[in-house]
Amino acid sequence: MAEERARIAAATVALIGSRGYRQTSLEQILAAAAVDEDGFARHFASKEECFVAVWDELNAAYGVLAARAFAAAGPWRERIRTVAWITLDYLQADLARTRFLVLEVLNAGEIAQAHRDLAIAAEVEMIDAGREESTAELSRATAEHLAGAVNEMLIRRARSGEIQQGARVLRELMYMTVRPYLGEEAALEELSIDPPQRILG
Amino acid sequence: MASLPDHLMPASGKLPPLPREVRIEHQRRHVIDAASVVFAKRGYPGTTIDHIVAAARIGFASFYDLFDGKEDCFLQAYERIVKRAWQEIAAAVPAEAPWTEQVCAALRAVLAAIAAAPLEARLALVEVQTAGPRALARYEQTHDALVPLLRRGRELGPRAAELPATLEEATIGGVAWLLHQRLVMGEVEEIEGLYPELVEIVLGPYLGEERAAELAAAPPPPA
Repeated sequence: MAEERARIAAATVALIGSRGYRQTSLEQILAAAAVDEDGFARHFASKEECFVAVWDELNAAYGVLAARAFAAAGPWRERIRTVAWITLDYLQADLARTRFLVLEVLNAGEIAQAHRDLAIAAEVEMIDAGREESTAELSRATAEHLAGAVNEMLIRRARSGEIQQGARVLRELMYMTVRPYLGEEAALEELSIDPPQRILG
Repeated sequence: MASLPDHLMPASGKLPPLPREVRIEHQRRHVIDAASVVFAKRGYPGTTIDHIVAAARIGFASFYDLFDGKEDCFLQAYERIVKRAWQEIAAAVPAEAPWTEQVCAALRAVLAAIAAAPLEARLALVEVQTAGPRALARYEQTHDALVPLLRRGRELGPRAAELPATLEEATIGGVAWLLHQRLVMGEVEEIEGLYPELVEIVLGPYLGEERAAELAAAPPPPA
């Protein structure tokens, strides 16, 4: 049973991540997972429900990596930078999975998007923690703007495949993120800081 | 009884019919108006051509005379909304004013346009991302058209050369997200309250955060 569900999940990510949500039929998922309709129905009620469940699982797995890095000791700026590199590493590892998570979630209906919006709200929290170390008077909109900027940049690069050259963009987004909280000098340093030397996962 | 002068007499016969192209354009506008409301309320995936023809009170054949299908109808609606928004913003931005004033005026105009037409804004900022690859590409092109306008701010700062290459792209994407979230959460009535924050966010990197905060707090110039 668990193995059957895992096959369906893997087929869903691989097919939807490469062909697109609307271009992938339930029949294609069944064929790729080698299960029949009854087998699928044991786990999910529909393609949409399957998408949302698999999306949640991937997001949770990534979220654990990010939350663990963010919860470590150290200044906000270093913790947020580590999260950024972990995110890039995760997204570069599997382009179909990245498209599934970042791009196809847009096509998978309202529930999927509501879950995506919640995931971005978690990013907003991490960025907004910069206020605790800042002397600037900033509102939550600053963090919302930055999380949204990251997401819009990811959508584009997931579409074009440029995510593989993401290191420069990551440093530039770190500049933007650090600047309102810690000022221009700290932001400029971000443009040349190397990834943290730590074992991921 | 004195008769009316010739030029005030009723014309003999009927008025000539409007040319076909005029009637088609009229019909197209009418259907796009109806479809925009349906797309904004039901979302792109939840909208069918049935819904559109019912809302526009036309037949399927007339619909397909005007559009290739649902996606084409959506794209045409998107184009019209964006064109109108550009016109409204262009009209609100003084051509001879300094760049910073132009940016402030443009931000005010964007927020005012959303407050005045929230359904159209929802279509152009929220639904457009869910309407497939062509719509997403058009949405990105709209952002791309804004990049050079914002990039002019680099001429102001002594440290402009150090600004990251993707600053404008990311700034515009982030602003779109803030607006997207307000629309999704149904917080349209307060959307113009975002103005000072947007000014600080957008102008900070070019002018420095202090100067951007001053501008954000300044009252609008007299019309």
